Amino acid sequence: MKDAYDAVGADDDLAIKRPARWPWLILLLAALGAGGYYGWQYSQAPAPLKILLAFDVDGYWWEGSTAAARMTDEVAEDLAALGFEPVRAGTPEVTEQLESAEDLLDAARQLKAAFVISGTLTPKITELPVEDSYFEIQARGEVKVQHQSDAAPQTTLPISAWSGAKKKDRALTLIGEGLATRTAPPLIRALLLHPTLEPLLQQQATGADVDVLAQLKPARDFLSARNKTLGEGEKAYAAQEKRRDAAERGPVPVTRHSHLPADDGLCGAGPEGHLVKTEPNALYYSLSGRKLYQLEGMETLEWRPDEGDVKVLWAGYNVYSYPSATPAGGYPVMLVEDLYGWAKALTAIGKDGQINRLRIDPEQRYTSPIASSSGAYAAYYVRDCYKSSECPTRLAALRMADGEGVFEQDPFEGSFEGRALAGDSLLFLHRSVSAAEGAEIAAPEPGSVERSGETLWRVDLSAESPKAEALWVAPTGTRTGWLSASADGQRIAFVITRPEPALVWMTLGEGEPKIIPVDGAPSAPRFSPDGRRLTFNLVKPREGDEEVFVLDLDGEAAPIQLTDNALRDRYPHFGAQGERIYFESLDRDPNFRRRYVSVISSVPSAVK
Amino acid sequence: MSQASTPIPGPETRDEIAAYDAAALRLRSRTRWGAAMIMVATLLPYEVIDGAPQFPWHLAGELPPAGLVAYLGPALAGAVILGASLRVRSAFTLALITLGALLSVAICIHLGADASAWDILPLPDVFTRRPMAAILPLALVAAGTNLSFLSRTRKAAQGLLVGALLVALWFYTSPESGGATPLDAVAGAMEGLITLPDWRMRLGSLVMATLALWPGLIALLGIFPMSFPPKDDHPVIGLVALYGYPLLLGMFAFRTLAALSDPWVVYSGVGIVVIMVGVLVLLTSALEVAGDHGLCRPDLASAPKAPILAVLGAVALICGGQWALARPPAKGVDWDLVAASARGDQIFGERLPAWNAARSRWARAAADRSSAEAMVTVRKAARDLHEAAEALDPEVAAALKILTREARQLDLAGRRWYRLIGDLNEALRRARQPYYVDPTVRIFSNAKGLKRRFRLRAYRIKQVRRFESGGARYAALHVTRLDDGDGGDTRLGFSRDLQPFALVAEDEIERFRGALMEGLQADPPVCGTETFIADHPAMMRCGEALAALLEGHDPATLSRMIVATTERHEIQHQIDGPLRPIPQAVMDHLRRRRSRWPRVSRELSAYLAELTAVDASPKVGLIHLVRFATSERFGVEHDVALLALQALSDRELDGEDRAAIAEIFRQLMALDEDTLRARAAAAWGDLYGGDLDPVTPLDPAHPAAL
Repeated sequence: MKDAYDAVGADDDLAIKRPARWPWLILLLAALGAGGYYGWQYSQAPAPLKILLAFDVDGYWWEGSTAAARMTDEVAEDLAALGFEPVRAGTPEVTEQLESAEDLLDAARQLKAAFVISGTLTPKITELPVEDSYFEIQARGEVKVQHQSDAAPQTTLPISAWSGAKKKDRALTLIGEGLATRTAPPLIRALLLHPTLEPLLQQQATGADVDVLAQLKPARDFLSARNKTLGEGEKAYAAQEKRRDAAERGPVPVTRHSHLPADDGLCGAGPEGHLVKTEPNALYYSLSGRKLYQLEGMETLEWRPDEGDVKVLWAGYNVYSYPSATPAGGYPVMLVEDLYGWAKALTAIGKDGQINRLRIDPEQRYTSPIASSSGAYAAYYVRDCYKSSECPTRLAALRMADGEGVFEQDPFEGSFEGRALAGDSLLFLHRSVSAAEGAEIAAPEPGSVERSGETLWRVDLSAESPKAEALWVAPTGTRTGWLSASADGQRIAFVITRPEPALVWMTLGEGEPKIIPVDGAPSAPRFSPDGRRLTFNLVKPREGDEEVFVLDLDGEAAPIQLTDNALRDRYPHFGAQGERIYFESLDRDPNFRRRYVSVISSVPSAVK
Repeated sequence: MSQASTPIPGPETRDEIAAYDAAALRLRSRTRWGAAMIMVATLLPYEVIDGAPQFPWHLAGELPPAGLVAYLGPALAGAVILGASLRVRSAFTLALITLGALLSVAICIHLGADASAWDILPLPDVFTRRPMAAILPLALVAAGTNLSFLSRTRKAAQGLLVGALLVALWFYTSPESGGATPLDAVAGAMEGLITLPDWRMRLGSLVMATLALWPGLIALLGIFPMSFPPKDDHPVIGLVALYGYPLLLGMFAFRTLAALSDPWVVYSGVGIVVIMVGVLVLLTSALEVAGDHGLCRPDLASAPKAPILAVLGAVALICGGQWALARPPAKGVDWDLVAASARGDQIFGERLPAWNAARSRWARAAADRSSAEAMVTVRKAARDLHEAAEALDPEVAAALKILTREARQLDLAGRRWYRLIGDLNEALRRARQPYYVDPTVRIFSNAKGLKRRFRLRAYRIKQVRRFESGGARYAALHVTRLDDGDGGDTRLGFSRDLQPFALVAEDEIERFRGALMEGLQADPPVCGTETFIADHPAMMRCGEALAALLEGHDPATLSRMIVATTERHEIQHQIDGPLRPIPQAVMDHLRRRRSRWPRVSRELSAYLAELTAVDASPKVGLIHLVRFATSERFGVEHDVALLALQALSDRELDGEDRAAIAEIFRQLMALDEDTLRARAAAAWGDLYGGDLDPVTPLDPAHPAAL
C-alpha cells in the first residue's frame, strides 16, 4: 500500500532532465588525481636541510648508549643553532623508525632527512686503580657525511676525544660531549661544501632556494668567521717558524722535528729515537664563544725516530714532571702519571710496552723518576703533599724486580740539587742547612747528610743496608746542581753555578772531579753514548736564553756553541749514535700570548 | 481501507504548490549536504596537546563509553540521516528520522557530558554547554517563518514561533553544568561594556553579548511573522535565523585566523561553524516538513503511525543505552593488605618516582629539541624499575611494564595516564600489596600552547576502611607518602570521582596536628602556624577553644579526631560526585566569581558533612573552618568557611565582619557535640535539599592510632 505522502519530494517525481555530469566528474577526478600525486611527491621529498644524526659510540642512542645520545644531542643543538634541521632524536616516532629501518639511509628516507651523518667512534674504557675507582675513556673514529643522493659518504672526518670521571656513566656522558665539541665545526664545513648545498651558496638562489639560503645564513657566517680566524692562526704559526729559522745564527744547521703549535717535552734519546712527552693540540674555533681556542688532546709519551713511525708508549690525562729513559737511552722508561688528580702513579714502561705502576698514592707527589742503565733500580723524589714549601722532598730508590724500596733520604731541611743512577749506585747532590747559611761545614761522615755542606754523595743500592757516603765536598759558598751519569755508569757530571760557573765531571773511583769554567750559567749536562763528550745548556751573560753547547772531555778544547738564536734551546740529549744532539726549542705562542710552544730540534754534535 | 482511494488534498494556489514541493525538496537536499556537514564532527580534534591534535580515534580507548558515544553522536546521526535521505521516499518519514536522530544526539550528549564529568577527561565545552538548546530557537524561528508564508500552515508556524520563545526562555534561565545561566554570561558581557578600559575590549564584550543574546533576539524576532506573514517562501527573517548565528561565529573564526592563532584552533572553529550550519538546516527543514505534514494536513488521522512509532522507539532505545553507559562509576573497594617490604618501598619510593622524573625531563626536552640522552635515561630507569618489580610480584611488574612502555608516547592524554596508573593500582590490589600510586596531570598554557605534565606520587597504605551510606558502599585508604618527588602535598586527604576510594594522608594529618599543637604554645594561643589575619578575634577564640577541647586528652586523641573528620569529608566527596546541584547560597555569595562555584559547592558539602562524623568531636571540624575563615589567603576554603558558618548559624555573614565571625564561632563551640552534628546535617539539607545520609563504618575497628 502506498503511503499518502510517498513520493512527495522523491527524485523520481522530478521529471526535469539534468545535463550529463560525467564529464565534470572525470575532470574532477583527474584534477584530484594529479593534485594527489604531486601532493604525495611533495610529501615524500626529503627536506634539504634535514639531517639524521646516528653515532655509534658503544652502540647507538636508541640501543641505550649514553655517550652516543649525548653526542647526538649536542651536535643536533649546534646544527640547529646554525639553521640546519636535525631530526629530533629521542622522540617516539624517530626511535621507532630507527629501530625498524633496514639501515640509516632507509631511516633517513622515512624521516625525510636529506643528509645522514653517521660515525663509529670506538671507546676504550680503562678503570684506573684509584680509591673508589676512576674511569678513563678514549674514543676515536670517523664521522661520515652522506646525502641521500650520494652513492657513498662524501666526507669522512677523523674524530677523537677523551674523558674521565669517578662514575662510568658520567665518563660516558663526557666522552659524548667531547666528541660533539670536536665534531660540530668541521661537520658544518663539510655540509656547506656538499655538492647539493655549495652551489646554492655560490650562486644567486631562486625560488625555494632563497628560503634555504636564508636559513643557512648563520651557518655561512660561522663558517666564514671560522675560516678567517683559523687561517689567521695558522698564518701566525707559519710566520713565526719562518722568522725563527731565518734568525738562526749557529755554526751548524738546526733541524726541526715538530711544528708549531707543538707542545713537546724532550725526555731522552736512544736507539728508538727521541723520547717526547707531548699533548696533541690544534686550533679550534668555538661555536658557542665564536673565538679561537686551543683544543687539547690526551698527553702521550712516545719514541719519535728521525724516520719511520712514532711509537706511543703511553697516553693519558697528564704526565707529572719529566719522564726519562735510562742513561743508555733505553728501557725501562720511567714516568709519573697524574690519574686525573685523584692519585699519582710512579710507573715503569718495559720494552714490551707493559705498564707497571710501582707506586700509586692519592697524596704523595712523585717527581723526576729515573732508572739505572741495567734497569735494576729506579730513583725518584717524593713528598707528602702538593706544596714543596709545606712538605720536604725526599729522595728514594727502589728495586725494579719487586718494587721494594731500598733507600730513602730525608733532606733535613736542606735540599737535593741533583741525582743520577750510575750502575747500581745512586749519586746525589745535597745542600744542607749549614751550607745554606754559609756556615762552617762539618766533615761529612757516612750517613751524616744532615750536617754536611754542599756534598756529592753516593749510595750503593745493592748493599744490604745502603748508606750515603760522601764523594766530594764542595768548597764553602759553592752552588751545584744538574747531576747526570754516563750510560756505562763510569762518569758523572754536574754544574757549579756559584761562585764561578763551571762544568764538573769525574770518573768514579779516579780521584777529584775536573772543573771546567764556563762563561755563563750552565745546566742540564748529558753524556754522549760513549761517555766522552758532554752536551749542556748555557745562558750567556746578557743574552738571557739557553743555547746548546758540546764539550769534548778527552781533549783540552773549550765548549763549542751549537745553537745561537732567540729561542730557549734546552735539555739537550745525544742521539743513540752520538752524531746529533736533540733539544727543546721553547717560544711564545703567537696566537695565545700567555702560552708557550715547544718543538723538538736537533743539531749535529760536531762543528765541521 | 486503501489509502489510495483517499483523495490527497491538493494545494490551493500555484504558489502553494511550489512552496509545498520546495519544502520537501529542500529537506531531501539538505539531508544530504547537511548530514555530510555534521559528519565533519569526526574530523575535529578533541583537544590539542603540544601542538598535536588528538582526534577521536586517538582517544577511543581512553574516553568513557558514554563520552565516546556523545562525541561521535553528531557524526553517527549524520550518517543515519544521509542514509535515510537515500533510502526513504517519504518526506514526512525523512523529517521524522532527522528529528529523531538530532534528538538522540542531544540526549546522548547530555548524558555523555554527565558521565564524562565523573571522569578525568570531560567533554569539550562545545558539548557540555547545551549547544542544541541554543540552536533550537533559531531552527524553530526559521521553520516557523517559512511556514507562515502559507495560510494553511500558519497555525503550525505560530506554534513553532511560540515554541521558539519558550525554548529561548528556558535556555536563558536554566543553569548550565557549572551553575551559571546564559543570562549570567550576557550580564557579564554587558558589564564589560561599561567597565572595560579599552575600546577594543569593549568591542569584544559587545560581540560576546551579541552572540549570547542571539538566540533570544531571533526568538523575539519570530513574533513579527505571526502578525505579518511573509510575502515569499524565503523570508528574510528565516534566512537570518538560519544563517545569522553561523555567520557571526564564522567572523570569530576569521578573526582568530587573522590573529595567526594556532591553526588547529582555526580549524576547529571553522569545523564547529560547519556543523552548526548542518544542524540548523536539518532541524529547520525537518521541523518545516514535520510541522506541515504533522499539524496542517486535514488527513493527519490517516498519516502513517508506524514511522512515528519506529522513530520514537529508536530514540528511546538509543537514549536508554546511553543512559546505561553513563552510570557513575561504582564505589567501594576490598583491598586486603600484606606487610610492606623493603623491596616494595624501594620500588615505589625510589625507582618509580625516579623513572617518572626522567620521563618528565625527557618529555620537556623532546618538545623542542633533540632528546636522545633523556630517552636513554628513561629507558635505563625503566629497566631498573622492571628488575626490582619482577622480584616483588609478576602482575605488578607486568603493569609497570605496560605503564613504562605506553608512557613512551609523548602525547599521552590525561585519561590514559590515569588509566595506566589505575591498572597498576588494580594490580597492586590484587597482589595485596600495601602501595598506592596517585596520578595527576598538570595542565597549563605557555607561549607554546597547552602543556601537560604527568606526575605521580607513591604512598604506602596503612589500612583500608570500608563504609556504607544510602545503600552504597564506599572506602577510604589511609596512606603515608613514600616519595618526595615533586615536593610536599599539604592535603589531609583527597578523593577522585573516578576512583572507588578516597584517601586519608596520615603523615599530613600528623604534620597538621603538630602545627596545631605548636600554635597552642604561642601567646595568645592560636590554631596552627600559618599566617592569619592579624588579631582576628575568631582566631583568638580558636586557640582557647582548641586548648579546652584537648584538656585531659593525650596528644594522639587529636590525631584520631582529625583522621575521622578527614575520612568523613573525603567519603562525602565520593558520595557527591560531580553532579550535585550548586546551592543558591553559593551562587549568591560568589556572584562575581562563577568559576569557583563548582569547587566551593563540593567543598562546602564535604566540610559540613565532616562535622557529622561520629568518631570525632565536630568541634575539630569547626576549628578547621575557622582557620580558613581567618586565613590571609582568600581562597576557595575561605569562601567555604564563611558559607559554612553562615549556614550553621543561619544568619547572613560578611567576611569583613570579624566580630560576627568570632561570635558565631563562640556560639557554635558552646553547643554540645550532638546538637552541633544535628545543626550541620540540617544546614546541609537546607543547602542541598533532602537529608544528609549517615555514613556507617563497616569495619569494627576504630581508625588506628597514628
